[in-house]
Amino acid sequence: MADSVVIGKRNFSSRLMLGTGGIKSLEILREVVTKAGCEVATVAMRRVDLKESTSFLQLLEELNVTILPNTAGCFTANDAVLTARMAEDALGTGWVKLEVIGDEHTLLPDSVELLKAAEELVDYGIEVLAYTNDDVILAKRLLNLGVSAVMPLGSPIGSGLGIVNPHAISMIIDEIAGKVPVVLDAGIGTASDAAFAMELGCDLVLAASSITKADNPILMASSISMAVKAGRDSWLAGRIPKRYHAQASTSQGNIATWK
Amino acid sequence: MSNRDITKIKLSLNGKTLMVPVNSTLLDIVNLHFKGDPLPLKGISAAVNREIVFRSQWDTFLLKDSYIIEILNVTQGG
Repeated sequence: MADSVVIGKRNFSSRLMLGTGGIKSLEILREVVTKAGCEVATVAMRRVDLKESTSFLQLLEELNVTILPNTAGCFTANDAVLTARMAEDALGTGWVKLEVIGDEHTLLPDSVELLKAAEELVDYGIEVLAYTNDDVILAKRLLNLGVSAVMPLGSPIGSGLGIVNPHAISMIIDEIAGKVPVVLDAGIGTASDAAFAMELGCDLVLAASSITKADNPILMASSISMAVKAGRDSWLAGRIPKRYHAQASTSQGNIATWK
Repeated sequence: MSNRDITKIKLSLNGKTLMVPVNSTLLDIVNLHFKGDPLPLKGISAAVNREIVFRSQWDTFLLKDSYIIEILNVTQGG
């Protein structure tokens, strides 16, 4: 049976989402998507050249990737809502990755503004995938507002620090998973971080800088894709409990005695 | 008496000042912004004074003096 994941009205078989920020060329983007098998790729709304924009969009459509607009760069709920609605008018995707950043130094989410924006966008009928701090209470508030996915950060955007507080992520999974997907977003530095996220029970991983800024983005995309799959399989297989003391794997009965 | 040209209005487009004829529509400005290149069906959006103007309304949306326009399009990010 296919191990698919549902976000809002959409069904995906790949559990790796690609953040396209920082990708060095369209040729690399093509290879990254192909090698990693990503079905979702994020886009931003900016003041950019029309030809550049059109080529980028055409490639994503050619690759049959589902486009996920985001509100990167927004610092207030008002800006995020306006940007999300502009993205909806431009693309008609019906969903958005909602980012409302608190300041330029940390790039951490502004929780108060995030909640305001999420509520408004849900009211507009847009499916909201909310990029959030690793705070279970906030995640529950977002769930109650009707978001379609909760996207806690592993560590700050672009830091590559991995999951700095796995306990916080586990608490979010305990409360949220099964209701809406939990997508580990931000902080992935390398493949093991992605595997760890999935082993904790995240439903998906979104990787951007870890792939787009790697020395070899195509190889890293492939590596992270395999790690997501491996981590997911480990989660499904069920890890053994951690113990303080050793426990022999071989039976202790019927042991030869040499006396 | 003012020397102001009453046949034109002053706008802000993506942070830059612009003088355009009175009765210009938002579609006129979008076309001007993209230098007359054919507009793709998807990927562009516009807002005036922080309110979204849906693409279906661009050709009838008349601009007034001092309006602030943002035209955004899709690019890599996130």
